[in-house]
Amino acid sequence: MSETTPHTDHPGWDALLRHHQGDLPAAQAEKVSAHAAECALCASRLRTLNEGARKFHGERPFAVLESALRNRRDGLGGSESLARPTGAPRWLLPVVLGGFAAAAGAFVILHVPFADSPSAPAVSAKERLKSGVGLSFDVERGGQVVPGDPGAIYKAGDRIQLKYTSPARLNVVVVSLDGRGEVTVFHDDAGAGLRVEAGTGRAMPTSIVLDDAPGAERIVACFSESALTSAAVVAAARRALTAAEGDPRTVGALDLPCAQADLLLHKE
Amino acid sequence: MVHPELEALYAQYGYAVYRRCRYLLGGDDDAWDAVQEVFLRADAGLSRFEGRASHRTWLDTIATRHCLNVLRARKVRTGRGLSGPEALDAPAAGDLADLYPEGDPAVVQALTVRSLLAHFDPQTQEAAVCYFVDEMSQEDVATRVGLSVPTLRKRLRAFLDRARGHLTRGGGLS
Ligand SMILES: [Zn+2]
Repeated sequence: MSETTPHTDHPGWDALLRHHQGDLPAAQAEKVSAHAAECALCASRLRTLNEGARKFHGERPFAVLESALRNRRDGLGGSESLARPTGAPRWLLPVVLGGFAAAAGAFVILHVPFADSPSAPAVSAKERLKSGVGLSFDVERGGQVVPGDPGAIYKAGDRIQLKYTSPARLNVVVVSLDGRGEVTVFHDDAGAGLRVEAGTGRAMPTSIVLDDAPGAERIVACFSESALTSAAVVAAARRALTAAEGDPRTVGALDLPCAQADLLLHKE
Repeated sequence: MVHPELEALYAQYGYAVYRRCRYLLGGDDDAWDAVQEVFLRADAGLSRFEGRASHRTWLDTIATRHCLNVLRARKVRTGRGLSGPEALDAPAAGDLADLYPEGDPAVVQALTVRSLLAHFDPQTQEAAVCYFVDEMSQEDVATRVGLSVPTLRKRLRAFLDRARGHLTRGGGLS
């Protein structure tokens, strides 16, 4: 238990915070109260916690949080609500924005099918499109472009060119889900993804560069006939990532009425 | 619609989550943004929450990991974020002032820990914050971050070595 710090009789910040939250068992809570009645430092720490909490909840009552969460889900929350290639914590960065990080890390890129997702809705458009969409990649290293090889080892600085296969003129939103719980949109066109023509192995308009930050990352492309918003895809990706306990390797299909194709990129 | 339990969680732990984010990220706007992110994830995760950890521990872990990720990203993108040991010489207490009572010696310790985080792996970062900043017991920290107590001690010792005598909370680590 954490009633006392090692060198003193003061309860630590953790114990004071738990006391403030009402999370301490009664006996410990009594001890902390008795101590704070005699100790100026701990009394002032408790006062700081109480005043800080009052101020915080006064300025940001639950209604404010709820509305902020709604905006994030709806994609109205500004730059922070949608994953942003410019600011997101990432080891993949759109080439136009990201520098080539000097690093020695090596990466493995694998094609891994989605885990089964019993909750994915049956949608006719999705069924119709299911077999026709695909995602693949080329890799550029030292000026040479070669087809991406699932299982091959790639390095920081390698440029990954995503390619899509689509049976029709469709809307596509591409997101990445990383091991830090971040979701980032690629190829975003005014918040509604990108229109692509029918074709096989066609290049996406931008490429991405591997940097040396750690973690597995899943790239998901959502194809639909209607213009699925990026915000909806980001929200669904966040839910899927949470459901997978933050592990991009075990993420299930996104709960969206669209056809999906994906790649898993993994740092060795 | 949010999960029916979210409001109660926010009432009880919202400020603690904010406090954690303010400590790690430094600014009010960034902290509030992180609070939203944490409760967004909590909202999505509540229906599957199994009660193995307390809600408090669960939220704190989400908040800590999210903020450490934000700091790493900041560092990658701008070179700022978690600063190097040079920050040890002149810790600026300004951005923590409203989290601590005036004259609390723990402010300097907290700033020292934050300035050193970048040099350690995520697990050690989390452990150092729990031990040196939250003043949790070694047993509680070990449980929180998933290390044995002896391994935790080694990690904290490495942290202390790097702090070159700036941290006072080292008892029982040697
Ligand atoms: Zn005291």
